[in-house]
Amino acid sequence: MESAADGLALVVEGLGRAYDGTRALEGLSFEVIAGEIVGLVGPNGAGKTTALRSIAGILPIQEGCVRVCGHDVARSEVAAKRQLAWVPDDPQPFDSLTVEEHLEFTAALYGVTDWRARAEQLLASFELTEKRAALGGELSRGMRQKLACAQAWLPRPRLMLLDEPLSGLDPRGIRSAREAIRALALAGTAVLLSSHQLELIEALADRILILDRGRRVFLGTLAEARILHAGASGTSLEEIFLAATGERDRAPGSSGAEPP
Amino acid sequence: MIYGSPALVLLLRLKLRGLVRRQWRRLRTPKGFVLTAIGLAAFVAWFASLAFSVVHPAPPLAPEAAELRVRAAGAFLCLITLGTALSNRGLYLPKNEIERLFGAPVSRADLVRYRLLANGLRNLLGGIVLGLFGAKRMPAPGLAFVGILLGMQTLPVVNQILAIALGGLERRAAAIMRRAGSLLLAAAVAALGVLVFVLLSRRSLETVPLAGSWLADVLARDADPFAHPLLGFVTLPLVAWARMIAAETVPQFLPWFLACLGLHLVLAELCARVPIDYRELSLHTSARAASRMARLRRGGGVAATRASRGAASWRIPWLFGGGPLGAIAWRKCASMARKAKGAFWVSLVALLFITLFASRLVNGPPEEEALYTPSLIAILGTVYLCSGLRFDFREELERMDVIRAWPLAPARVFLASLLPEVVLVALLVMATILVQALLTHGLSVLVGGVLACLPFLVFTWVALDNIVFLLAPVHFVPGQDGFVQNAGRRMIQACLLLLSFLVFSATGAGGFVAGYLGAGALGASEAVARVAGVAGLLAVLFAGDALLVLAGGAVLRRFDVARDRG
Repeated sequence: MESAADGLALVVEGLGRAYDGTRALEGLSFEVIAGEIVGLVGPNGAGKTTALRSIAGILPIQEGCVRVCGHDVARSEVAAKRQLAWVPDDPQPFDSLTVEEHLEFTAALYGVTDWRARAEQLLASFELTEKRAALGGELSRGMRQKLACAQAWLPRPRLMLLDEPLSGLDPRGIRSAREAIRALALAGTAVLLSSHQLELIEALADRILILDRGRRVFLGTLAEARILHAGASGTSLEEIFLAATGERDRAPGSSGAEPP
Repeated sequence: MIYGSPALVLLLRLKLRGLVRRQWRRLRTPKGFVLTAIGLAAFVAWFASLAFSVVHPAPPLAPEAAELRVRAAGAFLCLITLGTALSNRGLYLPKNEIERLFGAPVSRADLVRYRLLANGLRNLLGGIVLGLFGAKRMPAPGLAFVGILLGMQTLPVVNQILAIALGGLERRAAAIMRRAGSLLLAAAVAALGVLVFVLLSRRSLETVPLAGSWLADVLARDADPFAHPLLGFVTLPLVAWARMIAAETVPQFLPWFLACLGLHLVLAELCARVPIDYRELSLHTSARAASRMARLRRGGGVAATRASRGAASWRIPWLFGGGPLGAIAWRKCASMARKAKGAFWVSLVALLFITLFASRLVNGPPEEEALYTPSLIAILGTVYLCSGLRFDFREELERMDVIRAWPLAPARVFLASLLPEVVLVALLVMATILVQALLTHGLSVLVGGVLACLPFLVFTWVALDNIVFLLAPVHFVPGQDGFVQNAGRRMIQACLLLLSFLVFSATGAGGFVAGYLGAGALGASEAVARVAGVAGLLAVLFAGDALLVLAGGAVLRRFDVARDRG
């Protein structure tokens, strides 16, 4: 339990994974401390979702080690899972449960006793109050995303894994979700946030982890990234991202060719 | 044949070529090659046996009896066609085609022709199978085969005309018709229940209310059900088809064949030219079908039903406790309560048929009947109901990542996910066995023994089925390509399941024999020895089921959402 005592919510050491001979993750190592938001970015196929799923215990760990609040995900799977919550990129709610019943189910699953008051609060925060009696199968893409967030927030996890949490949300929903993520971190939860919306990462993340072809190409603060990759204080995360992943040359307009 | 727009014909050709290309690509991997070989071998063996029965037919039916059978089968197929047309009104086009084709510069008539052509091609294999199967006892099997093939090509045309015509009616009227359809179904199930009750309690068919005397006549040998004025009138258009298929010689066949072919072409052209704007309903039908396909891919079988909005207000009791295990089971209970309406009806009908079948099959001294009939109902009921009521991992394939993230040991997740389905199936089969026993020989120790073993038997079957599924999870949707490979895969899975079940049953029988002989050796009476045998059987089944829970947990633990999602 040393990492929990050190305030480390997540320790990833040498995480590796292969699919049919293709390396999806290669020796990935990083840590996230309690109350910290780490932004996970990378091009399509960089291994972001694979990393998040491995940490959540969804994918069996092939190589390396993942510890959540001191619990080894491979050896103490259940204990580790009790400490974390995960919001997938395309949530699939249970089509026969109502929104409210999803929260009741989550509360029982994670042993949350005072769930009713908290559920009311979360329904209001994620603008689901009017949809509380709707079945999972009736929800729109955005509502499904909000429900997945409410479920993840309910057990007050110590580590939150978010995979594209804002996709499908309307502007008001985006603002609510941003505020909720910030409040979660302020309350001491470590957040690992994967998104292609770089302005979101820029606004929320304390540190940034850039992956490319399964490898870590950068881990540090935005200021450090600017020094390392762009060298200019006003450079955006997009520029840093393109430089770090070698995509700047491939970006539209950068080659001098006009788009069609 | 009607071809319509050249662009649409090209699209059909390209789609066919794509289908062949995808099949060819599948053959290139060792796994694809093996599955294709097994699937093809199964199809070839099946076709060969069907073709052999046509070449070497059983004694043919007399032309009148053959005509009667064809008319009855035709009436049944038309009823199914009407049912499909009622639920899928308008012109069905797959979701990935509909907006592109509706927005394309082709006439609506050409779109209908394109759809008819596609449906005809799709129905070809079914027509060949039904043709081989149906022709073997006809007076001239070769002619009957051609006739059945033509009939199977005409059915989709009739379906399309009905779907477009019904689509032309006002939505409200269609909703009323759908409700009428549900009421008719309920009435049919109730009538079947009354019939089973009468047959089991060995009463006279004359006692069946309303249609008793007609039913007694129909079930009497060589009776003509179409002698009933209403049935005779409704099925009059089928006479031409019946005479064509039941013809003995070419001169008898040809006029009816030409008449049916002409009718087919006229109906197809009428279908293309009918002046009804079907677009809005077609979009609705297509979206509904796509959503159903998506649910089928997730769940398969009757569990693919959409959750009922009305049932959402029901409070689902926490039958298995309030902890994490109870929560998982509660979620399954909610799924069954809100989605199983259709499956429940189908299960009831199946149980009625199984009871009738088992009662008719077992004939012997009362003591044998009292044991074998409930045992047969238990086995057949378990196997059938478990294949229909898929409220287990087979409806969870798209949510396996969520399930894998739950903070609970995989063995407990496995147990909690299966328990509600096991309880439901066991209760349904138990109720059937009880009713059957009460109507025939009454309750006995043997029936009690069967009832005691039933929950373990159901759990064994469901657990084995799910373990085999989780080892190679694929949801095959009708119309999806790769059906040969899927047939191969299903055959391997079925063999694995049956083999495991047989080993399990043999071990259970060993437990019974050990208990029975052990008690006998200690000088116990016959009745006590039987009870000891059942106790031995129960002990073995319990231990086996506990092992299956652990095995299920291990399979769930090794499930890789990135690789095994089907």
